[in-house]
Formats: sequence, C-alpha cells, structure tokens
Amino acid sequence: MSEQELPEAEVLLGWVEAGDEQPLDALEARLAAGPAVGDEGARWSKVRGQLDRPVAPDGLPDAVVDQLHHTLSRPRRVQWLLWPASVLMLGAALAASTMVWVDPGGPAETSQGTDPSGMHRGDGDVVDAQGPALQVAATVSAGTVQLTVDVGPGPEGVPVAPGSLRVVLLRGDGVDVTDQLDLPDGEARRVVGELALPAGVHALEVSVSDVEGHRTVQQLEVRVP
Amino acid sequence: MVEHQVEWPKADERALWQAWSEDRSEAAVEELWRRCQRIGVAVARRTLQGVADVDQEAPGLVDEVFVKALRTYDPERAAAGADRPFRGWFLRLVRTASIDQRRKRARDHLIDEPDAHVDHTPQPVDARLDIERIVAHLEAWNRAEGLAEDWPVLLAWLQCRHDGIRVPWKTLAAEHPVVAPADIPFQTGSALLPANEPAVHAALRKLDLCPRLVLDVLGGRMASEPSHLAGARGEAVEDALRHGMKRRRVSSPRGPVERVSVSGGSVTGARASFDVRSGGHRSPDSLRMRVEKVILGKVLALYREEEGR
Repeated sequence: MSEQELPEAEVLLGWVEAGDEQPLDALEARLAAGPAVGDEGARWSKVRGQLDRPVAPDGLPDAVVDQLHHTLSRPRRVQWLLWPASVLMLGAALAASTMVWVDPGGPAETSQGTDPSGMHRGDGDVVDAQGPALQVAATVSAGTVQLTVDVGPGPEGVPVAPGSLRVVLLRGDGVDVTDQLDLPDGEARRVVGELALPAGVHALEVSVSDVEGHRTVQQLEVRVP
Repeated sequence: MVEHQVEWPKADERALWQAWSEDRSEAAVEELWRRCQRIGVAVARRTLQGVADVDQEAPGLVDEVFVKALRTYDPERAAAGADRPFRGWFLRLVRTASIDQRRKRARDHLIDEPDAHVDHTPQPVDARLDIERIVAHLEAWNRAEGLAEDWPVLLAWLQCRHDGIRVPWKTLAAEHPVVAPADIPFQTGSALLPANEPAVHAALRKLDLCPRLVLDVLGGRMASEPSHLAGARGEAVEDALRHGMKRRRVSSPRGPVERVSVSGGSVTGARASFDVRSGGHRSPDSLRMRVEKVILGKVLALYREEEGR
C-alpha cells in the first residue's frame, strides 16, 4: 500500500480517537495484503527481546536500583560466634580468638584478631584486651530473635559491671533495645532475651563492661525470614 | 501447557492477550504483534509525515509502543463494546507517541547545535544517599501493606535486571503464591468487626491481587455461644470483603465461582477463619505491575524524600 493510498493523518487519527473499528479493520486488511514493513522478522526478534525486560519507573536512577540490588542481595548470613573456651581463657594475650561466620549459601569467612590492644572481628567488633569475656548467639523463629549472651570476667578476673550489658540495633543512629530484652540486671553468666524484629537482615551490637570500665563489643547480623 | 493446540490466528485479541498475560505465550504475543504492527506503522508514518527518516523512525517507534501497550493494557478498563480493545489501546499509544516524537523533532530542529557547555553526562547518585534508610522504610511499608510475598519477588526482579535477562514472571508467579490471612479473632460473644479491620483489609488486598484467589470464610464458635453468632461473624467478614472488592468471578468448568463464600463453622473458638479454596497466585502481569509500578514506585518516592533532606 503506497503512502498516497493511506488516509490523511487527521482522518486516521480521528478513527483512532473515536475507536471507529470498521475503517480501521478495512485498512488493516489492505495493509496485511501489502508488502512487509521493513524486515519484520528482525523487528519481531527485537520486540521479543524487549518483552518482560525489567524496567524501573521513570525518574528512578539506575544507580539507586543498583544500590538496592547490592543491599538486598547481600549473602544471607547467620552468624554464630565460635569462641573456644581455651581461647577465651588465653584472651587477648594470645590475640588468637577466631570468629567464624557460617553462611548457609556460601563458604565460611574467618577473621582473626591481629592487634593485641584491640582485636577487630568481622564487621566492627572491638574487644578491649582487658575487657570482659562476651559470647553471643542468636536463634530466629517466627519474627522473634532469641539472644543468648554469655558474659564473664576478663583475663584479669575483673568482675562484670552489673547492668552494663547493652544491645543496640544498628539502624540510623542506633536504637538501644536493651530494655525490650528484659535482661537480668545481675551478675548472671548467661542471659537470654527475646526481641521482636521485622523480616529482613538486622545488625545488632552487644556490649558489656567490667567494673574498671574495660568494654567488650560484638556485632552480629541476624536474618529474620 | 497446551499452547500448540491453540490456533492463534483464529483467536481474538482478548484470548491472545490473556495467553500472554497469564501464560507468557510467545506465540500468542507474536500473533498480536503481527496483527497490530502494520496498521501501527501506517498511523505513525502518517502522523510523522514530513519528518526526516520517517521510514526508519515509524517501525522502531511502533515496536517500542507495542511493548509499552502490552505492559499497560488493562482489559477491565478497555472499551466494553469494542471488538478489538487491544488494538484500540495500542493505536492510541502510537498516536500519542508519534505526536510527541514530532514535537521533539521540531524542538531539535530549532536548536542548531547542542550547547557544548551543557554537561550531558548522567549525574551520579549522591554518595550520601542512605539506601539502608530507604530499605528500612520499604520493609516497614511492605509490612503495613501485609504483603510479605512481595519481598522475594522484588529480589528476583533486581537479580534479573542485574543479570540483564528477562524476568521469568510466569515462574515467579508460580513460585510465590499469595498467602491469605489465617483468621480474624473476635471477642467472645461478639460479631463486631472494627477492631479487626486490618486483617480484613489485608485479605482484600490479596483478593484484588489474585484473580483466582477464592476464600472460604468459616465462622468458628465457642461452645458457650449461640450458634447463630458463628454465621454472623462469617457474614460480617464476607460483607466487608465484598464491599471493597472489585466484583470479579472466577471461571471454572462448572461455571462462575464467587470469590468469597461463607461456610458454617464447626470449629470451636471465636474467630472467622479464611480458607483458600482456589488459586492464591497472581498473574504474571499483576506481579510485574506490583514490582515495577508499586514497589519501585515506593522506592522512587523514598528516594525523592531522601534527596529533599
């Protein structure tokens, strides 16, 4: 069908605007009998490639979507701190405590303390060489995180300061959730508390001090399904 | 999959679009494209008349519009009496896109040379953008919406985008069913709803998302209560759901099925229970709309809030 045989633009657009199907049907039939428009096979292949292509809304920068992907696709890690008793006894003097991140979907990551005055473990754990012993484990069930925290005197045998245990949810400026845990304010070596958290990955920081002010801090990451 | 048994050339547009929307049938969508593209090119070519390279411009524009039309076509909003509702929608988009293109060309023509001093490189996202804050807000919003099912689908979408591959919406829809709320507790001896509205609204949202989700509302009863209370509770829930729900019926070989029904409960306990009798799956298109329009739309709003800080 040649260009001249097509109705004028105003007429054509008028049919479209009015939803006038009869002349459009007639035009479509005439066009179908005519020559192909370009390489229709190649065009269809290109269209096919565009179907279901992920598309972000207009105005949302690709970089934000990439950051979102990076943040949400981080390996889901359940952290367990394996701190052998012998290492606990030797403390910072040996500077050899070992933290193992158990990742169900990938290889375990191990980081070892290197600085005798302040060992760094994983993402930001800092242990005062003189600080109390601290061991944290978390179990997750039905939106509730159960924290089991074992505390004890440091290598010098300095007692733990009563009420010094703090649990902070690392979000924004940090949210102190110690009160929500209803932890005993005594010298119990093991304290257990429950924390209701929404689904997602949460970073917690547990800290404890002894009566001389030495402080031990540990961070852990929990995933609530 | 019985796709090979369907004679797509004889199928009407509704069947073709439905086969694409629900089963991701490429044969169906190819037939739809084959039918629409020539008349689309004719409309675009006429509207762009006088523009340079119109022969190259029109087919490319039409192909882009076809993909957009597939994404945005809503059979419920289409003209009820039209024989070719998809073509009507597609041609309207072709018309609009062609006019826009013509105006753009006219503007470009007025500007002889691009301004060498204008930096056209895309602006990097502000390094201070707190994506963790956005994620936290998104999580909270997702919880408030009562659609925990959205999260894994969003992750799959992001993964597909990252890998540059097509999103397997059909697979995602099959793998991520919508879970209806388990039940709505009532006070003993009461059939009042107000305190329980969030649960009803959650069920309502899920009914609207899933064309095939059929809920049975069961009225439970305490032994000490009169038996009619159980039915009254179930009916109160049913009324609340029907009141806000888009009126849809599910087609089945035995005829249309009401999407919400009430059954007499024999379970003890003062609660109305939801029982999913059918479906619980979203269509691939509703899943895509949910991610691209709703969830990422929310991300866009949060991003703008962050920008404004």
